Amino acid sequence: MSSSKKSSDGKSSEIEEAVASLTMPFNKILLTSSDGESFEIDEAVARKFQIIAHMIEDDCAGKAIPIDNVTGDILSKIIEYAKKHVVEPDEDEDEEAKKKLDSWDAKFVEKLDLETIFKIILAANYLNFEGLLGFASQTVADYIKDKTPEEVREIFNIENDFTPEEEEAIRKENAWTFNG
Amino acid sequence: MKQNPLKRKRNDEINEETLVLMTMHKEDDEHEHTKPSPPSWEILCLVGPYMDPESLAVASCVSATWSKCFSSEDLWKLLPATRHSIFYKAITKEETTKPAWLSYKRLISEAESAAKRRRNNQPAEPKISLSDLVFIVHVSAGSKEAVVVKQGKDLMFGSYERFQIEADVSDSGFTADMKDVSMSWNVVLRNYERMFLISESVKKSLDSKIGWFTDELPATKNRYCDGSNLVGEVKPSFNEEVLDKVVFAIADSRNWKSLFVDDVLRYLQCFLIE
Repeated sequence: MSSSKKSSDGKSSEIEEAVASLTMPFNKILLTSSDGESFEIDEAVARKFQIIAHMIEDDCAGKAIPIDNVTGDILSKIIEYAKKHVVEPDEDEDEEAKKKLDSWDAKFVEKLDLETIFKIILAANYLNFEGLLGFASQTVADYIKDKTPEEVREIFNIENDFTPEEEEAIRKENAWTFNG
Repeated sequence: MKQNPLKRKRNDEINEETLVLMTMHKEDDEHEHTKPSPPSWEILCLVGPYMDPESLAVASCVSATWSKCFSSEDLWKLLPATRHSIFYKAITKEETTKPAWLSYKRLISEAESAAKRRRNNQPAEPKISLSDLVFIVHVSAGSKEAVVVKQGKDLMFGSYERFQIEADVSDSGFTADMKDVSMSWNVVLRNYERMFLISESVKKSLDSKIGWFTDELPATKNRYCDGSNLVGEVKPSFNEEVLDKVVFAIADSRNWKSLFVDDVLRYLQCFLIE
């Protein structure tokens, strides 16, 4: 994947698009992040993002596609994940491959802090990349699992803004979770 | 949870921003918070569908915003609900439209809570009658399913008659050759305020045509039974090869006799009333 930083003003991206249309190898697509980072990827990888797949189907995808809502650092992570998941192994047919991929996924997300994961969720949602959206969302859900509300507040840095009465009422409503 | 090593500390004045929706356009991508920004509403909504009932309930206690998001009926409706769908089907058997008092959140929370109580053997105090109860029988095998609802108020027993629930499943097409038939019966109090599960996913084959007993039912601190010597009793009866009825009862494993109605009520009330 080639990546280059350019200034993100409209004129240079127009030129970039034009150049890409003329010089891009067949089956490659150029994605440009909101902060001007460019990524050349295979069409098969780009198709993991449903919004791009639809653009390709409807024939309105140029060779260079601006991704205005996503910064380069996040887009790079998303592309990394997409490349690994271009072909999803069938759990029944190839258990070995599935296990390997799950292990890669676990390491991938282990290195990321919460804020990055949030950004990835929003970006995956924007790009309509269901696989990553599900995986990242499940990761966050797992942070909440088996924790007390206090622990969750600590992890996510949430302020307890209930009044004492509200808090008591809510705890009562959900008391079943607290008893062992 | 891992935090990247601090490179640069952000100014404390940024605090207001932590409450604003996460923006994708960050000019300074090198900054580090000492603590993460709280997730935006959009994030909460995207993560919600991936949480189990207990996580949703805990999350509802975190803050007012989280409470709003994770108490949403639309979210709870999405939960894969094998146990809960039984109750939903039972309710909608009586009325074709979803009744106003039915909240998915309450239904599922109570079902989960009942399962937890069953695991923890938590007892309680009593005073209920048959008319307070509804019995729900569920029989399934593969894609065939029968849900039978018996209103306690329609059942007649003398106080010294042995208690039993007779579920007519003759038109559900279960036959004696079926394996992996799961039968359960559940007791609910009034408007599904509380539930008690008598048998959970016990799968048997029907070919021997004889009944069976469940595992020991949870013990209570009730004077009547110390430790649990109670088991659920399941008796299928056949019309030729077709399953006609299933009779459910509670039996004392010391003498293998079914309990009388009053004793069943005394036992059940331990689990249905706080």
